[in-house]
Amino acid sequence: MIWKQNKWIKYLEGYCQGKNQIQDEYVRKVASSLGLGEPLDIQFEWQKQITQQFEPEDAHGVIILTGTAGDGKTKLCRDIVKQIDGDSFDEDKWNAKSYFCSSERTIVKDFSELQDEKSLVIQELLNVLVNGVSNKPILIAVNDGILVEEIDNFILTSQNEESEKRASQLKEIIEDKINLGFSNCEQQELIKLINLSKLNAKENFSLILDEIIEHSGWEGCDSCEGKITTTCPIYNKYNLLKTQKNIRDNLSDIILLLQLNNEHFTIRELLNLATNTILASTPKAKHLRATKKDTNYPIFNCTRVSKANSFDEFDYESTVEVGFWGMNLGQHKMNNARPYSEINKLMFGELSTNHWDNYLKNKSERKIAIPLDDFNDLFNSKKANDLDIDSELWGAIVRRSRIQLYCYQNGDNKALDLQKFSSFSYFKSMVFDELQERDNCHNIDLISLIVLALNRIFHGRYISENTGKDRLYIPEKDQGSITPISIFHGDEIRDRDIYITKVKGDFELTGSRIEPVIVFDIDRNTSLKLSLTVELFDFLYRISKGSPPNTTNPRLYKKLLIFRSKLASQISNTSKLSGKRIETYTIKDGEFRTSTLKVNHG
Amino acid sequence: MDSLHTYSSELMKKYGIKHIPIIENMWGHRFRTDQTPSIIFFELLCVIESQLQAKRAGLISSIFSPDNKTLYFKHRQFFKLRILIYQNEILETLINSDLSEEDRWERQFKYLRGINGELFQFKDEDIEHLKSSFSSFESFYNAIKILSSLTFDPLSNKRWTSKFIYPISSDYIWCDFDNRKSTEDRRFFCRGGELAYLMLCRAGNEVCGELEKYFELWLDKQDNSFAKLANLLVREEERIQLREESRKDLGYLPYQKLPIFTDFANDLSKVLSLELERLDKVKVMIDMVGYHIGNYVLSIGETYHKSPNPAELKKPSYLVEVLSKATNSIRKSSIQSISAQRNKLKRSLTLRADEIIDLYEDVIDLEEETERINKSKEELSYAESYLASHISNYSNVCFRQIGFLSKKNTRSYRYVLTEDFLHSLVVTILGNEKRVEFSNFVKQLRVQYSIYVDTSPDNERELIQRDLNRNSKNLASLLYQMGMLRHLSDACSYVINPYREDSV
Repeated sequence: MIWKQNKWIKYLEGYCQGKNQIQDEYVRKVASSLGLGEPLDIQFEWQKQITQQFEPEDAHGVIILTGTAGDGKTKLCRDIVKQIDGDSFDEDKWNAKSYFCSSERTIVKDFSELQDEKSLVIQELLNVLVNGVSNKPILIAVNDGILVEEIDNFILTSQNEESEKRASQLKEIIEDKINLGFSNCEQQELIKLINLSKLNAKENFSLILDEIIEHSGWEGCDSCEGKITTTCPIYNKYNLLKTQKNIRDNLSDIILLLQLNNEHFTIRELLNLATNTILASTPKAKHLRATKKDTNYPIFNCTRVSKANSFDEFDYESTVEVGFWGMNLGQHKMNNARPYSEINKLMFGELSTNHWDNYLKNKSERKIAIPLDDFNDLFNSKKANDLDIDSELWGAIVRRSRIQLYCYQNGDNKALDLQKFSSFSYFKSMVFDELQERDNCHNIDLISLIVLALNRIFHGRYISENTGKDRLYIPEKDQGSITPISIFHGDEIRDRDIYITKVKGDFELTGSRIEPVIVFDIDRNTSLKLSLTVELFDFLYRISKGSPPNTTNPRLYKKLLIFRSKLASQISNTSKLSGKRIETYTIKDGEFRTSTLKVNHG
Repeated sequence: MDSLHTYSSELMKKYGIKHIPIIENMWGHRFRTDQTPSIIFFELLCVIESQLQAKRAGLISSIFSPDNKTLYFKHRQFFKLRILIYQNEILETLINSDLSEEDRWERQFKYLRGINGELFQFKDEDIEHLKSSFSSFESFYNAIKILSSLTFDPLSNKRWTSKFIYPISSDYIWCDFDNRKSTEDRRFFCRGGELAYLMLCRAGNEVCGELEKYFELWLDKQDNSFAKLANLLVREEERIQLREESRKDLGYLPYQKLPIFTDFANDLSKVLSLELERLDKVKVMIDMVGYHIGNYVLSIGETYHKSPNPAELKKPSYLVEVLSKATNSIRKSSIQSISAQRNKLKRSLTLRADEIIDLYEDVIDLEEETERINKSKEELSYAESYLASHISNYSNVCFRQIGFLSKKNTRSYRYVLTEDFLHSLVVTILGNEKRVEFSNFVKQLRVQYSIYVDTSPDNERELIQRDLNRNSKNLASLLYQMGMLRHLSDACSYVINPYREDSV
């Protein structure tokens, strides 16, 4: 038996390298030079939907594709043009230029690569606003902020007042859509913006992982010694992910958690994450190694594996969580390089509950086994010190075992307790799952929780559940966002005027991520919104259970005091009660109440 | 070419200054380290309120005019309200007693009637006003407690006539007063507020017009509960116009027009125009007062340290550290810059003193040459001492209070960006804008406030680019912690105005 050199593994290895190597053009060249029939070509549903916008012959309109570097803007542009041009699509011509302008269409592959043409493109956009219509399809791919910066430069150098005004309008529309996902400016409907940063990274990750696992390139491992003897760590991990779909789901749920906290992962980052998960070697830092097994390289390939002296400890050390959490890349990258830095902020493995600690110890009560189960005796010993174990080793075993428990569990509702945001499971079921089915969420228990927490935050007093759940007390205007204690009562917002909805962008794309917001209806025409991230929800949840607002999360506390100020200002404009009484907040018989000051107004 | 400054030979007579007013001719009459930015702001509002009365009485045409140099009205005193809040020692005893409602009121009124001093004693009309306003003693007690919770620096040991409530409306604007001598004094209202007022008057017509509009709105009768409480507790105070011979001269500002006066006025105007709550506006305005006054003091040093008659104003630059634990080249440079700025103040005094002394020939007009020289030296020595006590340190006093200067993690002061001051900067730079791109925000810090975060002022060689980059990252991180930054992608972040953006 021999160890084979699989080109497919070599190709995947490219995704683990630096960012430049994951440019679309480059990977296609690499695939071609490796003689791979089909490189990784993931068909995202949203790509098809966007492409369809350009298919009709009379398709006119402006579409700006924006997002972070690595979101797939350029690739999408290429796919759209290839779809429209069909056989006449010229790859070389496409690669040679960034700007294609004719009377029939304008395509900008990468706005940042343009020189003098930038002002031409901006002028085209301004013409659309001036005319109120676009005469041809205009497709522009540009990174966040760059287009706005160019419009700024255009405004600065403009000598025409009308032009300057239009450019300011265009800038506002684009900035609003990049930042908020929507704009209320005039003519915003003429400029459609698809922010690929707003796509569903969880779904993208699932698609990427599935595509890698299902790729025919793995057939290249057939008859390799490593596969036959089940010693190859790469193949073993591939096989694990292929056969245990729950592990893939669990990993993509972590992406969902981060996404609901407004973290976005580009396609490039997800490709890097997926391939690193499969190809990672062993943890670089000693304090994360469960054994003494050490390799000098962060990732495996066929050559390195074939030269390994022994494979004994790879079953423990080269496991799925090593690559997903970036342990093979070293401490610095784990904490500073995306996407690993964001995943590690969740503190998986560092936090636990009795439920999970018991599971860890009592192997027989579990339906799942984990690679580090061979160390199970340690968990049942009285103290690690008694067994004379190095504390670093002990820490590594405990932490990685918890992470493995998470990765391998199948449908355990308490799985996401192993990380920072303990209320995430609740959030997922009450908010996220609801908004997947419906536009709004009016769950009374959920709204009551939010109202109670906000009352406690706004008024600096422990407000009981009896008095703080059904209406949000808004202080009178002018008491400031800096002072924690509000004195005068302004008005109330009843719980029925508070609900949760999701941000709607210009397109309802398959794969758009759900961004929950809490809406506070002040009156028929006025409402304020508060972005409901997992972090905010977790904060509100904890406050509703009695945690002190100012120390639980000082940052969010200050932000919410500012939000209180906005509510107070808005509500004072519409309140029917203003000017009638002086009402203060008091605690009477342990209950928080409003109390009218007995005065004679004359 | 017009000079930036105007010297005056009348200051000794005008203000009763005992020594040759060298410092006063350079920085103005006057600044003292007892007057922190908050107190400057309270004095400023007092002056503006008085000038508003003068305008209404037809004595001046506008509140902010370069011709305004006199006070026509006595400052608001509002002793009755202050007594109720700070000198009503019997209140707690009464509320905690078992006395009947009637007895409580009776004891309270007896106390108020019995206060010493014509200015402080409650008259029958005042008592009647209280009686008619409150139907219960408890409400009266609660009203006073509510107002006292708005006291600025409540734990200080200052005399009760030097205690202030945040001036969120004209009801809470009053002057500093010596209750023992029953006269206004300069203990805390040292004229810093008057100088601030004069700066605003010399800011330029357009911005003066805006300021006037906004301050008039600010000082208009308010309908909120704080204003109502004040009106319920005390009668409206009669505003007393000063007889012509008693009208007071405002402080002396040696510069007719400087760009920093316009910057100062623009910032205050912007803050007043925002849809912010009043208490927040007060906080931001105090920070702006602190920055601009401190900046003014140092600008004079920066401008005059090489020449007694420069052509244009030069502003100092502030290399700021976004607070970090470890020391770095930014911290070291920042510490050194403070020392350099102080030296410039000294040098500018040395360069200009003789010219000013010459204006006061009559003071040093002595027979013997040696006596004249000694007298000049004595005056210069006094000026140097005053500079060291009250001017050199004054910008530090201002900047420290607003969170622009700190000794944290070090032994020496250096310029920093704390959350409090950064919050005010975000509000003033963004104004009514919803957001601004992060690099533009950093640029505005540099352009508007000479605050350097990621670049070196004057190409200082000691600064390491890596430290500057990290400083910029720390700023982004701090703004994010404050909820005022949105990361969009690897190279794009927006500083957001949390008072204007819909989503948090």
